[in-house]
Amino acid sequence: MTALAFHQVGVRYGDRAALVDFSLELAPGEVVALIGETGSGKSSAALAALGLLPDGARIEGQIVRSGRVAMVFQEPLLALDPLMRVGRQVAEAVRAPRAQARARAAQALIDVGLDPARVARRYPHELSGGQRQRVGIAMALAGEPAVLVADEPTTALDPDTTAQVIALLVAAARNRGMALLLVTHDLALARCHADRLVLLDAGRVVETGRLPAALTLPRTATLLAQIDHVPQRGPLSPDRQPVLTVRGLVHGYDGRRVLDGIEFDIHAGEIVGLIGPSGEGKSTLLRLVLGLETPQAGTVTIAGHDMHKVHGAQLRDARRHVQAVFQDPGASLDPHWRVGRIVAEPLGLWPGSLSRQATHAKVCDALARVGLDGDAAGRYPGAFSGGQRQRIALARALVVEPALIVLDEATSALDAAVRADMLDLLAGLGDSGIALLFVTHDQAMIAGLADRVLHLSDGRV
Amino acid sequence: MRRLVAGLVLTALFVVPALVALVWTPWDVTAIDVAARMQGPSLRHWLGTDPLGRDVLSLLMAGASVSLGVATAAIAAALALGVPIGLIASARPGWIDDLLMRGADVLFAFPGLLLAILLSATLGPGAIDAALAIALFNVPVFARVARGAALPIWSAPFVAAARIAGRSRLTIARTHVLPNIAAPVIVQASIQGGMALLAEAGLSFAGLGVQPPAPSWGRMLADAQTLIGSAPRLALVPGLAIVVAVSGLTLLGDALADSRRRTRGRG
Repeated sequence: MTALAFHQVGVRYGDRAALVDFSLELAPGEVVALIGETGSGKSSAALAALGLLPDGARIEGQIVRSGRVAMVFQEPLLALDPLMRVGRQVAEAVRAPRAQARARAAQALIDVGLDPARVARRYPHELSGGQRQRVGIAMALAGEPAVLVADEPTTALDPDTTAQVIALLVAAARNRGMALLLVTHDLALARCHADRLVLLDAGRVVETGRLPAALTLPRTATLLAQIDHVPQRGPLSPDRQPVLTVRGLVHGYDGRRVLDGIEFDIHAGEIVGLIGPSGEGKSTLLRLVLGLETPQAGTVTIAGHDMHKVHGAQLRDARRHVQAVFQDPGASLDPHWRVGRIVAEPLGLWPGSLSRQATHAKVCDALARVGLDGDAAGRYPGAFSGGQRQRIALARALVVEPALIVLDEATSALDAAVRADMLDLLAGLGDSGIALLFVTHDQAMIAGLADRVLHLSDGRV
Repeated sequence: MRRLVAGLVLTALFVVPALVALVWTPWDVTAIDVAARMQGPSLRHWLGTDPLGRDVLSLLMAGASVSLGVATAAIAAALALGVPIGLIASARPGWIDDLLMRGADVLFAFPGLLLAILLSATLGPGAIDAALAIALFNVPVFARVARGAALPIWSAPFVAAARIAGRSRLTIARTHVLPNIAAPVIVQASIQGGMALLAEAGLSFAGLGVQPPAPSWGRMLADAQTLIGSAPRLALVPGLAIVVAVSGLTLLGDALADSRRRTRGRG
């Protein structure tokens, strides 16, 4: 008895094969993790199971479903209709007359740990990310599917919520005898919860096996090592010049205080982690440090300048000393600019004017520091992979030789192997005397990389 | 794809004759030849002649270049004014944004025909007054499209990166935001171009646009109005030309918008 079976399924987009000769059987109540990096074909497999492949995709082979197949999406805010109350959306997924559907929807909300009296009348934007994903799961379960496909269901959630949502999905599979296909790039997540592991690479199954035995298979073991990779740090330089001093920082929106008296220092060559729950002001703090917003009170001192008091040449000098790398390497580079122009952009902050040759030399130098060729400068960001784009963003930060680089979840969108390389690169920057302020959710990673970790909660460090 | 081809073919169908008419028409459109009046289609006059003996094909071609000229000038002026307004509004949230966009609202609320009458009363009727009226009417359209497309760009991380690089908001608007909103603005310009053609014909028909003896599709329709019973061909020819031109530009804009959505969906 199988709940879902793929028989030699292939998916092609034009000339590109996204999935090749993919065979997999799921038994009722079984949890199978489909692991792979970006572009490995795991989402194509998931969409094929649902018959949701986009126009232009060609599918071969056979998929046998023993009952309904439902899906939990990556981004719950996009998967819910923003104009419809949550209760009605869940009821819509129930195949029953209206009065019955409402009762069943209420039960579905209870099953995912939500109180229907409190949430059913609300709109999606009034719920937290975790609550939204629970609603998404309630909708998927309301149709009593034989198979549930969850495509990266927790990437938009913080670590605590992730654990709860995964536990909920696994429990639903066990209790209902429903097969769960967990599609994820996160091996760490899969190894705790799945019965079986299927590792995809470039559209092909490279390894498959029962857990925990599968963790010793060579490719899986390599992947695990990359995930747990801790970069080597040199000794901290004895020169403990502060590059950033934050004192009494207060800021808020609409009368709500997000930051309430933040104080800390960062010294040359230091790598400092900044962690804290979502919505606790990490991003606000970054925007203040970068001078993108003006605080209601307090000071941010960079290279001897109070970021929010100085003007003109002094402000440019302050700006030159603090640069940033953002989370999404796709969105942080202007798609209409060539890489050379992107990397050169902050050079407007350089004291004095630079000749064409000097600018070009600096750009090539910055690209070399992040391991890219000088001829990358002539191409557009679209020609590069996610990891390479993040290196370009880092080169743009390095080109003005800053004292501090602020990283906003700068490695969370990267695959394990690329991320391990990036962490080594960052550790090397720390050794060369550049201070890093690294905002992240990933506590294990930052514990390995950082010299010090700041916890932000209730607007304080 | 099929719509794109259809749009391109229909657009070419009036743009090419309009360009040819700038240097050559089969007959002189100002030459009146009463002896040859009201002829049906023949080898000498492919689409026949009008009550003054002018060649209808030549009138149609010359009219196309006048209409195209007025529409192009109007859209170019509206783009030159509207896009910067939208860009500045998106770059300066707060009272500058409010001032600019409420101003655009007021302009938008003003009926186009009223505007045209006002302008021809003050400037005297003519091609320039028609172009000006159409341009003014389109300024708020482009201001809104530009602002709407620009707002999400302002929250993109690459704009934050540019600000950290010390660029001013106006520089960012010019170098980062403008190239990234070009596609929707071009699509809108194509659609508004079709509307401008229609508006020009309407204004000339009402006597507020191009003045005789300069030919125009709207004038041809107005002249044919009283003869519609005896020579429906005279009204049909410019009418069909307007339909072809407007649908061509609209199809083109539609197809461009569609292909843009598709490529964006893939990215």
